[in-house]
Parts: sequence; structure tokens; C-alpha cells
Amino acid sequence: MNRFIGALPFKIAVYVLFFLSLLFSVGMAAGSLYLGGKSFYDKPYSLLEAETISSASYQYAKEALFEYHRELSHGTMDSHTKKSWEQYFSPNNTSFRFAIRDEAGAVLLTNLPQGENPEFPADVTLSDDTYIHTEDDGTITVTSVHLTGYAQSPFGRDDRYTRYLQTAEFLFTFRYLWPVLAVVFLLLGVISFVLLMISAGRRRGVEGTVLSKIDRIPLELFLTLFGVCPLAIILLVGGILRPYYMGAVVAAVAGGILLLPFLCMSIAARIKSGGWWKNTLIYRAGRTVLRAAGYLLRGIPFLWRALLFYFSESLAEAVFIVVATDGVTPGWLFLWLFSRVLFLFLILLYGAGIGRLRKAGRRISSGEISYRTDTAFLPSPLKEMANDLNKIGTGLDHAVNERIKSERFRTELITNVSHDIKTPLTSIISYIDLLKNTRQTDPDAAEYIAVLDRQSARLRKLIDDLMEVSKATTGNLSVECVPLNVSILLEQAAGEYVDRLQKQGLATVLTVPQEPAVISADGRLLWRIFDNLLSNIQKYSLPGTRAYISAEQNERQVRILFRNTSSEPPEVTGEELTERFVRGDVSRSSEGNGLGLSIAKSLTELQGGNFLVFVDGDLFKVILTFPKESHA
Amino acid sequence: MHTILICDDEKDILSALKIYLGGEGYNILTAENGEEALELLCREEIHLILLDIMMPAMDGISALAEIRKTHNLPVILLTAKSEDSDKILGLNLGADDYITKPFNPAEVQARVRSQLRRYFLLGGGTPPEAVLRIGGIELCDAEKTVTLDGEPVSLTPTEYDILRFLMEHPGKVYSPRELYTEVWKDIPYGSENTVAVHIRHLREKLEINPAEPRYLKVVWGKGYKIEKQDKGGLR
Repeated sequence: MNRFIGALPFKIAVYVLFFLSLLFSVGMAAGSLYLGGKSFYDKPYSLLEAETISSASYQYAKEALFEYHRELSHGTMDSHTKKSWEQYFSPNNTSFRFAIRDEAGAVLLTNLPQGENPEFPADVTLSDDTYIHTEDDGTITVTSVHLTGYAQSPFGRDDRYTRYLQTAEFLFTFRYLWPVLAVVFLLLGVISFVLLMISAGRRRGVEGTVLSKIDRIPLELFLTLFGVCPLAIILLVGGILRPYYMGAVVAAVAGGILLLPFLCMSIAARIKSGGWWKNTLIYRAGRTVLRAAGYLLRGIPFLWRALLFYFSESLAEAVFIVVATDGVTPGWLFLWLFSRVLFLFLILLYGAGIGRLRKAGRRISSGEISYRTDTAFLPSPLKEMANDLNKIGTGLDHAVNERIKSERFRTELITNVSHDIKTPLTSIISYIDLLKNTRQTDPDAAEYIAVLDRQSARLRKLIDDLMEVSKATTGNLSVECVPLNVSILLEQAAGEYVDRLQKQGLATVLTVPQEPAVISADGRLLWRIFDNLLSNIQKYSLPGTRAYISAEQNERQVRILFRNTSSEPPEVTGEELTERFVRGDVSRSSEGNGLGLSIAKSLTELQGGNFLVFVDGDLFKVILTFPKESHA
Repeated sequence: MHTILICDDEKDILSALKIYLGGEGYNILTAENGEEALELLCREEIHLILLDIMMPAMDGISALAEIRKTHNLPVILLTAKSEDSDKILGLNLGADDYITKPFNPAEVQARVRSQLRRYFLLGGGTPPEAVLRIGGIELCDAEKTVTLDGEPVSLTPTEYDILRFLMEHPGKVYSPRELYTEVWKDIPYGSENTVAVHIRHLREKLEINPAEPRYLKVVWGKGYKIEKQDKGGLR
């Protein structure tokens, strides 16, 4: 969508289309009104035809008289003018026939052929007075001349009658088309305007609204710069060139109309991008003033603010008393002053108390939970509040202490339990090993010992993992994050496992970025995560498949991916797999205790990373995302 | 014949260790707490102590501190606390090695053997110039041989080159890329984990527990290094 609408050529084309449509629409509407005034819509054509002919005759008559006057005032016409004039009114070139006479009725000028009767039926008669200056004595002679003329049909010469009649016929034939066209062009104009508004703020290849530099100018400034200023300049220039003043007004109006869609587009873009009012001078100024006032007020201690309020209010009251009443009796004045003093005392008492409560609330909320409010001299409602605040503080204090205690207890418990389990386990493992090395009489015994051996090793791993999980999830693990290169770590980890994976018939495909992918992490913990993931791959992959280990990065993140093909379709989702003690096989027939992914997830999150497991059919995918370390 | 003192409050573990180490041909003495161990240490000639940390009467850490006041002999800590802080505390107090419970019996045997060899076979005398020595590892460049606690280790030429390069710069971390350019004298191109695989093999040959190496350490996300150690690794 933005590819078309956002393109600059498109915008320009629509802009031009808008003006052309508007121009045509106005033209058509004006024409229709004019035709309406000429009764095109209520008279038959024959009447209109007669009117047209007489109007043409009238024009001709005026021209003839004008030329005649010219001849009189200039004395005689020069031959060239006379010739073209004669040509113009020659009976071969026009159907207009006329004769100009003086008061006595003598023919002064005519285009009737010689001998033809100058008495003819007149369609049009015009009279005029001509003032003739005589050079020598300065007297003025007034001559009245009279023109009679008529249109001699048939028409058909290339003259005014033909042209007028053709035009009238054309306008009459299509007389209902013009208003329709006016409406159509108006619609086109509206559509192109809407299109312009839609395209405002869009740009090719960019999602959403883009504000140009112009759109970022504060609204009032923008309207002044691009709306008021150009018009003012046009009017000013018109004012200096006085004779063309009306022209300047017309130009200003035209310019205004030309600019209007542009202004509207910018406004539309502002509205679309949201919060248009924020980019106005009024808003900015208002906000600045409010902020400054707030800042100043906050800087003043609460008590002083209360006093400030008190004194301004007292002043207002005093002014009111002086202005609204024409004098106060000393008694009332005394009463007023007394109430003021009482009020002042209350303000001081409560203001100081609230100030103290505020301070206590802030200290406690900022973590100083052992802070207690002094309740001395507090008015009783505030005293209640202070007591409650103190109780909250005590409760919080208590809860935090409890929490710390239980946390410590939990860690100790885990350490102790794990120690207590490990000691007997050491004996068990040792004696199983000793049993292995003694000669057994029963042939089955060796097999039983092998089971004991395997299961005790599993128990040992389980205890180690459990401890790891509890440490990782309670945060009882020291994490020393330093910038390190994921590519190197992946190479190292893959190097550790390549032989083991090969033994399982698994090929390793390692892809790391050329540029160092640096993240902030604890190398040992990250290795433990990779260790868990790679050992999972080793345990659960389908032999003969490939394991993909890769890292990729963009400006903000480094993503590490482990992908392999499961030997058996996992029966649970990726989400569930990262929960403790959940394994891909619900029957729990294979080795492993289901803590590996949970540990990996906890350790990843401990280092500020994100750990996701995806199961897609047989494809098993783990994605670790770490924020990229920029300064390294 | 070396005499080993095993000190643990669990009788079963004591006797199991006694069987393992006795089988190796050592003379075994046992104690059930720190005080007993100190007493025995005064009376008998003892060459190595295996010391449990969590014990009644006197725990391993205080016993170790006492022992170090008067005696100079290898001490290996036995601990069920696998917390890093405990390990560091123990090593700082003068322990030579530590084994975490539950342990692998073979690992105990190997560590005891390693400590005794280093202490009694290699302890004296300065090595010749051409020999690089880090802890129990000795690399003789003239003969192209490597020994671990006096026992020859067979390495491939590449493994040997990597080990020599790292031993020449102990304590310094080299990224796989740097190691490749230094050892292969070539630009690493598409051979990302070659170095890592060789290092893994080296660790399997040089370390008792490759997952917790003493010498050839992995600095995850940065590279590899040989841990810098004071000569002989003992006080």
C-alpha cells in the first residue's frame, strides 16, 4: 500500500488532479448558473435562437457605431483601417446590415449595396450623440446619429451569427451535462483530497507514519510560515503595485487555495502520528510553565508551601474586603484577624505534621524499613496515620527478616542434605567397586553388580544436579559476568563433544559468525549450559543424523541454536521440557533425570539470557538469546 | 613403601579406602577425627594424608592448619562439599589436591600416586635447562618426550606442539585461533574446533579427571592456558 501511496510522484499527481478537478468543477458550476440565468432550462430553443441573433446584431451595431465615431473624431480614416473595416462589414462577410443616419435622416454610412432601399425592417436601433471639435474657433458641435440594422438570413457566413448560434446550440444540446459534470469534478476533487490526506505521512518502503522535517515544526509556527506568510507577502507586493491591488487579492486567494491541501496534509500526518497537540507552541509553553512551577513548588518544603497558600489567600481576602465593602467596622476587622491567627496556628500544626508523615513514607518506601515516625505533637488524625505507618514499617521489617532467615535456612538445608546423602553414597559406590573386583561364585552376581553400579552413578548425578538446580533457582550461585566470545565457547564446547557424538554416529555441524559475537556472561556457567545441551543431544539423538550448533547475531542480540533430530518423537511440548523432572519420554525408560534443561534454563536466565525449547516433529531445537555486549 | 594416613569419620569409607590403597601396596594408618590424625602424625612416619573436611572433634580445615605448622607432606582433602569456596580455602591453607565425594576409587588411587611421585621422586634437584616443568608435567624438548609425575606420556606431534607452546607461556590464555596460527603456522579456515579436539585429547592424557583439569585449563569463551604453578607444586 505504501509503495504507491507513499511515492512522491503519486502525491504530486494527486495534488495536480485535485486542483484541475476543482477548477473544472467551479467552471462547470458557474457555467450552469450562467445558463440558468439565460433561461436555458425553461425556454424552447427557438426563443433562445432569436435572442442569440438579436444579441449578435447588437454587438455588430455597437462596433459599427464605434468605428463611425472613430472616423469622425480622427477626421478621415487612414486607408488601411478603412479597408479592413470595409472588409469586416462587407455584405459578403457578415449577415448584419445597417445604416447610420443623421437627425435629418440622410444616410451617413451603410453596408447595404448601392441602390438598395435604406428603409428596411429594423431588428436593432441605436442612437448616439457625437461631439465634434472644430479646431479653429473651439466651438463644439453636437451631432446625433442613429443606427438601424437587421440580420439578413440565411446565415452561413463565417461571422458572429454563425459562431453565436453554434455555441448556443452546443450549450443547449448538452445543457443538462454541465451541472452533472460540475458534481462529478467536485467528487473527483473530494476523492483526490481524501487520497492526499491518506498519503500524508506515508513514505515508500516505510511502515507507519513518517513525519518530515516540515511536519515537526510546531503547528502554529508551521501555519504562519506556510499559510499566513505567503498570503501576506502576496498582498503586500500587491499593495506596493497599487494599480494591481485587486489582482493581488485574487492571487492571494488562489495561492491560499493552492496551499490549503499542503497544510491539510501536514496536519493529517500530525494527527495520524498521534498526539498532534504535543507539537504546538501553546502546549510546549504550557508544559514548560507547569513543570517549572511544579519543580519550584516541590523544592519548597511542605510547611512553607502551606504558608505560601495561607498568605496569598489572606491577601486575597484582604483585597476583597477593601474592594467589595466601602469600610469595615473595627469589630469585624478584629474578628477577621482573630480567625486568621487561629487558621495560621492550624496550618502550622498540620503542615508540620504532614511534612513529617511524608518524610517517613518516603524513607520507608525507598527501602529504609526500620525508619519510625516521631508521634509527639501530632494532631490526633495524623497521629493515627503515623502509628499505622509505623506498624507497616514494623511488619515489613519483620517480613524481610523472616524472608532472609528462610532463604538462609533453605540454602543450608540443601547443602546439609546433599552432604548427608553424599556420605553414604560414597560408601555405596566404593563398595560396589570393590564388589566388582572380587570373584563371584554366582554367575548372575556380576550382572546385579553392574545394575547397582549404573544406578548409583545415576543417583550421584541426580544429587549433583539437584544441588545445581536449587542454587541456580534461588540465586545462590556466584555469577561473574565478563565479556566473552560465544564463537570461541561454541568451538570449545563442540571440541569437547565431537568425539563422543561421533561414537554415537552423530555428525556435528558448527556455524559461527565471522565477527566476534561478544556477550556478557560467566564462562563456566555458559559451559555448563552447553554441556547439558550437548549431553542431551548425545543421549537423545537418532544415530546417523546431524547435530547443528550455530550462533548468529544482529546489532542487539546474539542467538545460539542447538538443533538435532530426536531418536523418538518427544511426547511433551518444549515448554514442559524445561520444567523440573520432565523428560521427553513420559515412561522414563531412558537415562537422565530431567533436570538438564531446567538447569540450563535457570543458568541462562541467571546470566540475563533467554532460553527457549522448540519441538517440531522430530526436530528438537534450543534457542538461547543473550543481549549483545556493545563495548568490546 | 609409603605410609598413608586416612582420616575420615565414616568407618565404611575408611575401610574402603584402606582396601583400595592397601591394594596398591601402601602402608595404611587410619584416624577418625583431626585430633587422632595429629596424634598419629607425631608418632609415626607418614608420607601422605587423605583428610576429610567434615569431621567431629576437629574438622579437616583446622587439622590441616595444624599439620602445616609442623609438617611438610602431601595432603589431599576429601570433601562432600563441592562448593568452590571450600576448595579454594583448602588449597590456600596448603592442601596439595582435593577429591570430592562421592569419588571414583580409581581417581583416588591416581591422585595419591601422583602426589607421592611428585613429592618423593621429583621433589629434589633442579631440572636441566632444556626441560619445561609445570607441576608434575615435564617436557624435554631435546628428546621430544613428555612425562607426567615421572611416567612417560605418549603424545601425537600436534598435541606435543600445543603442549610445548602453552608450557612456554604459562598462565597466558590463547584463543583457539591464536593457538592454530602459532602451532599450525597457518590461517585457521573452517577448522573451528580442531584445536578444541586436540586440547580435549591432551587433557585426557595429562589429567586424572579431564572434567576438572589441574594443569590444562579451559577458559570458557576465551581460550586455553596452562596453569602457572610454583616449582614442584608443594610448599
